[in-house]
Amino acid sequence: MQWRLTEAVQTPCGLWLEDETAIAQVMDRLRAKPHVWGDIRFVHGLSWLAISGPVLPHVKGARAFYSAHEGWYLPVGVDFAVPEHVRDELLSSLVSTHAFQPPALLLPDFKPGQSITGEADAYLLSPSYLISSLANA
Amino acid sequence: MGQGSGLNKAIVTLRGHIDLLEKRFVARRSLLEIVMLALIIREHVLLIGPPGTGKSAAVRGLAASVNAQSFEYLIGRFTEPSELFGGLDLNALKDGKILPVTEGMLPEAEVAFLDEIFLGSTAILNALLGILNERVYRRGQFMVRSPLLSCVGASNHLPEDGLLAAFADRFLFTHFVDPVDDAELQQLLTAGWSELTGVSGAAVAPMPRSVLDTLHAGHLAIDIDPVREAYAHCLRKLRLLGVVISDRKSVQALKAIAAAAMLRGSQSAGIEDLWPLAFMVQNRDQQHEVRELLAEELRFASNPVLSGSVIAATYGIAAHGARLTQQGHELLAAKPGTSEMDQWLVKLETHLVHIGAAFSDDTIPAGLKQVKDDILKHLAPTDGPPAEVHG
Repeated sequence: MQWRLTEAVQTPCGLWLEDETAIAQVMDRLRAKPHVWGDIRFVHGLSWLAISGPVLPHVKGARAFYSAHEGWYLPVGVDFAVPEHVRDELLSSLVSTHAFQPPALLLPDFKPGQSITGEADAYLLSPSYLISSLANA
Repeated sequence: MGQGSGLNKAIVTLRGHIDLLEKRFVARRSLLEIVMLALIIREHVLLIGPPGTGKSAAVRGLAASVNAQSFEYLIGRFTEPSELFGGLDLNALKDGKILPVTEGMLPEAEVAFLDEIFLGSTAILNALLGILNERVYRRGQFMVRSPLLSCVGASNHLPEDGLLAAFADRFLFTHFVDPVDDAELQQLLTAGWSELTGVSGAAVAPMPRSVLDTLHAGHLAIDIDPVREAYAHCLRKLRLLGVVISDRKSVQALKAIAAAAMLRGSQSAGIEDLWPLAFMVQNRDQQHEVRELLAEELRFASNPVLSGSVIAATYGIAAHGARLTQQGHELLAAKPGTSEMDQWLVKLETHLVHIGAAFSDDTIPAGLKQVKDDILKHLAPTDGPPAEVHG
């Protein structure tokens, strides 16, 4: 599987961030107003946070991502560099090779000057929880 | 450049009509425009997309709004030709004559919508070819001229079979229809509920047929010489990419370019009018590639009437910026009362995320920068800097 840089014209559906201070601030802020942020889903990894939902907070330094293929998310400005008709097959192969299940966020690694890459980190977006569930806890 | 007042009036009417239809069919402006463009130049459109994306509803709504005789049919594997073209007149048959009853059927339609068009039998597709190409329906010795302006065919996917692909080539435009974006989902639900409950008053008053006739005559008077070389250059570039556009289509596309120029308010075609070329390509991936390959040529594309199609044909960062600017203005203008203020502020903040995902401070266009600044002012607490979590 390969990914390529493209124009950043995709509509974001989520944000990914890895700064621990920022993560704590975002979570505090979202939890404080469940009546407006309650529908946001979040997944908290070891040192990262992904949130997605119909509304999103403005977080400096966060990477916006979008739904590029059912169950697969890519950063805004990145797309699959393979034809659409072989995507399912290649993604299935990716899943079986690395033994994980979507939904997943893929963060391709572009070296300076590179516009296509075959390397990416995958972050699993399941299980996810609603912000409103934190407020009720 | 000036145009006849009748033509100008027709262009203004068409623009208002598309604006009204767009309110009813959320996120389908580009589809509506391409079908309307096809009606003007009397060509045909293929809509390719999954079920439930509103292809049929949009075409049905548009057909009902142009004061034209329409015919709609969902074709299946076992559809008989008579279901489309009319059964035989039994009295005539007794006299040994084959005389189909075409009243109210496809041969007498001005606008036809054929869902699942590639499921049609060979007999159906052959008869259709005559109507699409020559505007003539033949059955044995029987022959009738068809008043067809445009046929819109729909399918979930393009055919891989070579013979069907040749049939598909008779459709000048191919428009891929995707489910509505997340950003427009709420608008879709609002419009859909209004439609379901009948409170929208959604039916758009029919546009006089004379408007289409005026526009049809108008596009034939456009001078295409100024763009001929640039157009040939684009075709050569597409061939290099391996994009096949048949000679027939290459010529017919000139009509679309001429109509685009006319609707732009010009009497001669220019580089602004080459964008319909993107809709000639009958392959989703290649349509995508064409936008990139012809980015240099299509960056001048503009059309005040067919704005959605220009964006769809050229969708690049500039068009995205224009769209975010427009959405931002609409959002800012919709400031609610105190009870819904929190929800509105969150929408503003979400819009800020969308802007930030596409543009840095160095690349943001001036108009969008103003929108961003206005949003930040609303998000700023009265005693401190704008709400933002710093990472």
